Amino acid sequence: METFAAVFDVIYQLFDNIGFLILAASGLVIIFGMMGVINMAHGELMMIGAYITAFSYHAGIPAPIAIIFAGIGAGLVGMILERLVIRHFYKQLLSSLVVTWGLSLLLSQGFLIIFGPSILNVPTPFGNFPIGEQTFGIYRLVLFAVAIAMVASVWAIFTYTKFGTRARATMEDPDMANALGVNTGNIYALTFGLGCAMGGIAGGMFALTATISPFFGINYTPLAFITVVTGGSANAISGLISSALSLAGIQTGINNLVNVYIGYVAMIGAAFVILLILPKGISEYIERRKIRVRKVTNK
Amino acid sequence: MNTSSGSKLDKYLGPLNGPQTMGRRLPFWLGFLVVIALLALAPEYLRRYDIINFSNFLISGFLALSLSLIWGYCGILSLGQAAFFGIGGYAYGIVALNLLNLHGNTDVAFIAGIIVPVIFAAIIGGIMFYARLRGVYIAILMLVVSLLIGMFMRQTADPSYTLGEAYLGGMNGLRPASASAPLLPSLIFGIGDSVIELDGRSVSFYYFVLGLLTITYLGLRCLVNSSYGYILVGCRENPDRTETFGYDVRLIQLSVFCLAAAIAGLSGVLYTAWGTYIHPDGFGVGPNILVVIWVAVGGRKDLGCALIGALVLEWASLRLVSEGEIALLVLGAILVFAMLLAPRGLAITLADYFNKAELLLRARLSTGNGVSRKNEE
Amino acid sequence: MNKFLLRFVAGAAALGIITAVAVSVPGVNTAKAATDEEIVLCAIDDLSGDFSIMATPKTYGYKLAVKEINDAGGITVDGKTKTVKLVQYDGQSQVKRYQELAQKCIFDDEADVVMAAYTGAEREAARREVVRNKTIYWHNNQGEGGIADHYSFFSGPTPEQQVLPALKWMIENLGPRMIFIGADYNFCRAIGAWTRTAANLYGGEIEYEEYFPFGVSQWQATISKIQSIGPDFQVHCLVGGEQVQFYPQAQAAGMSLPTWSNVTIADGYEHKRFAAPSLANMYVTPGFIEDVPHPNSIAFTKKLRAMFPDMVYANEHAGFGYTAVKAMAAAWAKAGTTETEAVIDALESGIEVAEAPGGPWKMHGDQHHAAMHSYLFMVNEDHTLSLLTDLGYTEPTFLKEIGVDMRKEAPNRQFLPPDNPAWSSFFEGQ
Repeated sequence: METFAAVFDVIYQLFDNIGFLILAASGLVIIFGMMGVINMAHGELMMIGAYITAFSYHAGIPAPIAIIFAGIGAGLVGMILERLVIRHFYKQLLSSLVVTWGLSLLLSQGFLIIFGPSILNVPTPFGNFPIGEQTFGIYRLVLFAVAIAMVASVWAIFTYTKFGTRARATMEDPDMANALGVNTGNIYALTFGLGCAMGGIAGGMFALTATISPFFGINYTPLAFITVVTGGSANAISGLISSALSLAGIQTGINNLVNVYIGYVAMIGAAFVILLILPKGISEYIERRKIRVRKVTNK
Repeated sequence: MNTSSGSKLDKYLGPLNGPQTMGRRLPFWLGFLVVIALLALAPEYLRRYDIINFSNFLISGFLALSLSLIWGYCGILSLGQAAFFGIGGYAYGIVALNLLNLHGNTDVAFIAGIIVPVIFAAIIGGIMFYARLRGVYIAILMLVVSLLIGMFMRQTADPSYTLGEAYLGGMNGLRPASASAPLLPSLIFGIGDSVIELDGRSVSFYYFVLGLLTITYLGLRCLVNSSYGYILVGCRENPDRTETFGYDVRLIQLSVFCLAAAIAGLSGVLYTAWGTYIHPDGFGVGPNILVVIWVAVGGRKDLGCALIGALVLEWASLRLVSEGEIALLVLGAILVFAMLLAPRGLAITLADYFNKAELLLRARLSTGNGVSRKNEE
Repeated sequence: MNKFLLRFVAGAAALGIITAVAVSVPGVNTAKAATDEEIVLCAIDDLSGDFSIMATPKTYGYKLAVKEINDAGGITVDGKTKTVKLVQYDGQSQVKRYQELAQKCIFDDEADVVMAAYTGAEREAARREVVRNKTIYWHNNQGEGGIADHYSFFSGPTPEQQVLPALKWMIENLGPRMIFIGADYNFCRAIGAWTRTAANLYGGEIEYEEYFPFGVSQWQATISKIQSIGPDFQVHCLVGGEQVQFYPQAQAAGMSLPTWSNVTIADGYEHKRFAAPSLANMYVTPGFIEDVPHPNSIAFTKKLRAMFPDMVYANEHAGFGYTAVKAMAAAWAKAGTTETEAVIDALESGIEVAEAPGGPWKMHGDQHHAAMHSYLFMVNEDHTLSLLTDLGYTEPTFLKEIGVDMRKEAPNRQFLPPDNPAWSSFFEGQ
């Protein structure tokens, strides 16, 4: 029982850390990984999601529905921003960085002026369960489940729907897609909106465990970027999962072996080393392996 | 170059002029002299407070030049340029605290503040460029490096983090380790037996920074207009083709990266000396992105435009602070509109525009005088 | 003229105007420099950024105090009755801004006193600039204490008034076994040292001690560790929006051990920001918050709410911001001048602020720290606060025990518990 509890403890932490990274990065994987826009305002869209969730919840709406509202709200804001600003910056990675940094200042400072420095958060639901001597929160597992569900639905949307096919075609070659009758403008707006909606849902999920302030999102952005870049864009989904898995794995391991500080440093250090060895991210390596395997089996 | 006054000027300004920098003809150089004169005379008509501020803005200018050099000319974006600034500042401070009582000056510290970032850049850059990293991956890796250094420096509050007489001091900034150690000094140069002290709040410090910045700007102009500059641009435009011409792209990238680190380090040294204070906040995400913002808003593909971007934005953000919470809102709006209006950079677009207008004006005047433009060429 | 020429002329004119404005604007400021009729109090606080939650109420405290002083007719100095002019800047939670704005206060506004900063990093950035230009500096919230500097004064409580009496009470009432977790930076390192001191003085035992980098928000590993130790109580110094996520996570994981924290509630009024019952069973030791039942506190909160109806909570910052301005007013009146050395002499003579929100408050001239009350509160399930006990009126003695008397000589450095010879054995082998 003792060893079981200890093993469960580590697995629980691993799930917790993976869920956290995937949630924080899930929207960005579309916006940065597929569309090639460095969106420094992604954390602010999460913040908007958190605000919508908290306001809806305190207005009497159940938390799950409030979180869906957050996704819709953040998605709409994202689409508006895309049409007004972002669309001028495709294929200009670094100008997009500056312009979205400006947007992030506008959003966070605007919220500060309108809603003040903080609002009441939403209580964490579901309670806990005991394993051995210790007790574990259920909500952290829900976070993990939602993270996986979000990745799965992104994959499903881009693989099986007509929109997904068109979106992939547009990202691959916008002119060709346009010539074939795809309204690329709409596709860009919808894809960006989808990424923002995922950010909004993530923000809503975190609103149940964190304090909510206009600067809520700022600290998620760098970690989300590191996760997405480590994953690479050869295959955004497998990249996200593999990089979250490896970064969270290293963090959890070192956390338990040494301490949290070294664990945190090790995680960022690992991202550094992975990028040095696999400059195009983990997913590119996976794709290469797949092709090689396919070639071998074809022979 | 195509006009007569251009070629005459080229005779005198030879290495300074070339296609890699904007402003090659007479009006630019006249304007340049006027700006230098205005800045040089500033202590005559501005208050002490403004001079202290201007010193600060000019110090930011070095950092903008360093990023423009690697990003605008060689195509290497670093989201961690402020790391070299911080390393330079700390190196200056640590060496100064240890040697001030011994030497009575900060000569060695000044040099250390430039050399240490270069060594660091050589190591990191060597790893990155020889691993053939490119584009956004270098940008993110440099940010990661900066964040890691920042994380380390922030947790050095423990009294055991001392280097000789210097106590790293965590988030509260670099401090003397013992009561006998001197305080973090401003610049003190010792030449022979004489000692020149430049207090960060003084006019002489301002002149020193202004002079250094002018020299750095003109020096970099010569550099980017030399054959080395052409190779830099070659690496930016098409590294593979540059390689087939027989250049070692990795070495060129590494060399310019180290040079930029030296300039950023110099900026850090001057900042530390200016406020006699250095702290680990500069390694964070915000300060690193701020450098990119200066350069992008000014125009990364021209040294002068990047410099103008840094000076104007620094001035504007400090001016705005007095307006309260609205300041950051306005700054955000400025960034968004600047990028929408001029994605290549505000200063560079304006300059382009003046260039065109001036050429046209010249053409008009010359045809008005009955001399055809063709003859002149 | 064709359209290019026209545009060129227009463009040149526009650029000329911009340049003219840019050059003239710094000059325009000259007009607003201090007049002879006003005493200038310059305050730099975080109105934007992460720390605006904590620092915004402090600016309310300043405004109320200045208004009261001016409504009462001002202060008589140098033979004239002058009003106090409050200049406020937004430090934007950025250290570099504090440096720049401190210069603005001194050289642009010619401030007679500068009150600035929340965190230690902000404090040191502003303080260094103020002190090297020989101006009086105040820091007006809790700090790690021990700074001995001729120009620097501290109105807020120090660990002597918080850590020592509170942990004494906790050890006596809850048991001796404790754990310590905190953010890895100067303030919490200092609090860790004070906790060690308290444990040694009062027979407690620290079974686990760890410091965490800022930005850590995943706490399951630590929660598991603490659960397996099962201490009598925890001591926390968790700072920043990510680190305080510990509380909902611990609550969700079913861990409800009593926790003493000196950074929660008093600064960031987390009980008003977290949904109940995340913070239940937490013990805090403010020198003032609006729940303090002292008559001063009730009167102060009422006046402050009347002036700022949107205020979420009157925190420690509001109270000590107010107290510091009142103390300066008393010092100016006593010195009869705004000349720095004379005002420092007045402050060092032992200024008292009878109406201080947390109860009587007195500056100890030899130490530049103040004597004050502190209170032990417990957070209930519904996030109301219960006063457990008044920990009494504590005199600052730490610097005195080390042998510092600032009226004679200021060492111009910071002292921490290991610097006290009587306590150095607590830190051996660490």
